[in-house]
Amino acid sequence: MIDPFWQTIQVPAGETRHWEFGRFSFWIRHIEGEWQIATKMTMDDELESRWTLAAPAEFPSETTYQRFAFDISGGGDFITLKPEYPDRSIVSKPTMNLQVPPYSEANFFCGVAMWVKVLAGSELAPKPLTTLPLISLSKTWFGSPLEGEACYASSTNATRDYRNLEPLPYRVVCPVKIMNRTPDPLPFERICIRVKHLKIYQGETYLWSNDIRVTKTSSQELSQVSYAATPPEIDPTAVEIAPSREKVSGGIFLRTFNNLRRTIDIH
Amino acid sequence: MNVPFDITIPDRLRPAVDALLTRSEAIFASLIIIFGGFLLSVLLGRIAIRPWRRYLSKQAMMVLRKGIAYGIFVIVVMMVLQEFEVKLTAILGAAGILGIAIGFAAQTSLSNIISGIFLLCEKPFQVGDVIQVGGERGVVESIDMLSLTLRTFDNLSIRLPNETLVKGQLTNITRHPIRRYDIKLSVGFKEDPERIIEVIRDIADENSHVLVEPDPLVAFTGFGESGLEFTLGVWHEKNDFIEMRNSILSSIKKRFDAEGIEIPYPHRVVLTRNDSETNPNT
Repeated sequence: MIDPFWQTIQVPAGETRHWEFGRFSFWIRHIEGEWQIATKMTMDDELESRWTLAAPAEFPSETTYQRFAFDISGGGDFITLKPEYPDRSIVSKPTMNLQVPPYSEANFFCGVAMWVKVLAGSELAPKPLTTLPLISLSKTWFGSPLEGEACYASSTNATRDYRNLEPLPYRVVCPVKIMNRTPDPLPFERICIRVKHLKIYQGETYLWSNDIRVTKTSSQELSQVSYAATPPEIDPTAVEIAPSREKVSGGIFLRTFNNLRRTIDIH
Repeated sequence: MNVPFDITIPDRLRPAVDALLTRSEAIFASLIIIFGGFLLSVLLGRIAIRPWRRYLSKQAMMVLRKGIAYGIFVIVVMMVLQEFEVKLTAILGAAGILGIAIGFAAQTSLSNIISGIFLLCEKPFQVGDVIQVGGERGVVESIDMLSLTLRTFDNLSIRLPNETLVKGQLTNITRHPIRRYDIKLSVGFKEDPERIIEVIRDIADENSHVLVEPDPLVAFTGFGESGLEFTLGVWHEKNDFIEMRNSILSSIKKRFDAEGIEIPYPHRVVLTRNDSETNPNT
């Protein structure tokens, strides 16, 4: 069971709280009329499954931090954390080559990184301070060098059984169903997940997104993609904890797979 | 007690005053035409072309706005002259002759105007793009009838005649959203090329400003004068160029130092005559 970090807690002036999500840690200090946020990323892989939530701590002295100034008389001493997806789509690349045979369908589960939005002030109407990426993602480009979309890169095992994924508080499991309606095998080299259409649900053990259904009906580049508006079929009792940034009604045609080989010239 | 109000007009001004009084209707009409023209110019220039913003580029909007203003100005002048019963045919005839004279005298200006129209149709760049023309590189600030204004990165404003842009080579640096930056690297002859390729690829993979895809290019390009030569081509978003270049060059230096990879400098082996006589290989 994942402890919810998306909560509002009181941090009286003079106190510091510490959160740890795997390799990423942050501290929030409240002083009179000001909030200070320090972050730290470590490279130790062993820390991946560790988390600490709002533990009283000392504010680190050796790291640089962001300052957010408020009117001393107003404000409030509450901190609210909200989960949200990264600000760009995520291109997920399977670690091993994978193909969906002609006229077949398959379910996969991909892990999607999650960020946290920090708000401060009163309990009922907090003001946004910043968004912290809990996982550092590399930048990538989805499309051709002339036209495409700036995304974040991620690798996935594209597991068929979600239980192979360790439940983590900073990772959303995204169920993807791929339906290949073409006479050719569909190589699943990379998939672009438009996270702006995804919601976050809290299930019994995992954090889930809504179901993605990708249908490839011709050998052209575009696929029909639909984002379900309900909790995932795998865990229908999951509770919505964050809405999607953009709603999609029905299916949309998008370039979702990118299997094009590029020729690169040396000058 | 009432004093009779009497205005005495000097005789020399009487013809002018009479003419003014007889033309008062035309003057009044002209003022209305000028005011109406001004209003129309503002309305068309600001409001009427607003729906076209979605379809036209910034410079096309700029030229359209100026074209509307000049067109209305010409119409207003002609209407005002008509109010004063000036024969336009004679003026237009004279303007034709004058036009030929001006045309000969202003060949360069006309060439710039026509070049500006070609640039507008061809759209090789837009306002805000970074371009390089000749030795000058900067951000396009405005595209006018005769010239283009370029703001260089050291904050100088350069006026380039449109004609030079059409005639010469122009590079649009920010046309595409991503770019590749090629770095030529040289290492000592004793190094293992396969290991060098592995290290260079690793440096590119670890840099957060380098795009994961398109894949970085790593190529062993040949045997140079001082060492083995490699090319690393990394893709980046156009806005990340400075950060990417600084970080990747710094990473290469640090990593090569850490791995003990020699970055050679040009050197010559000088043999004296006595050495060459004793050395059987020379």
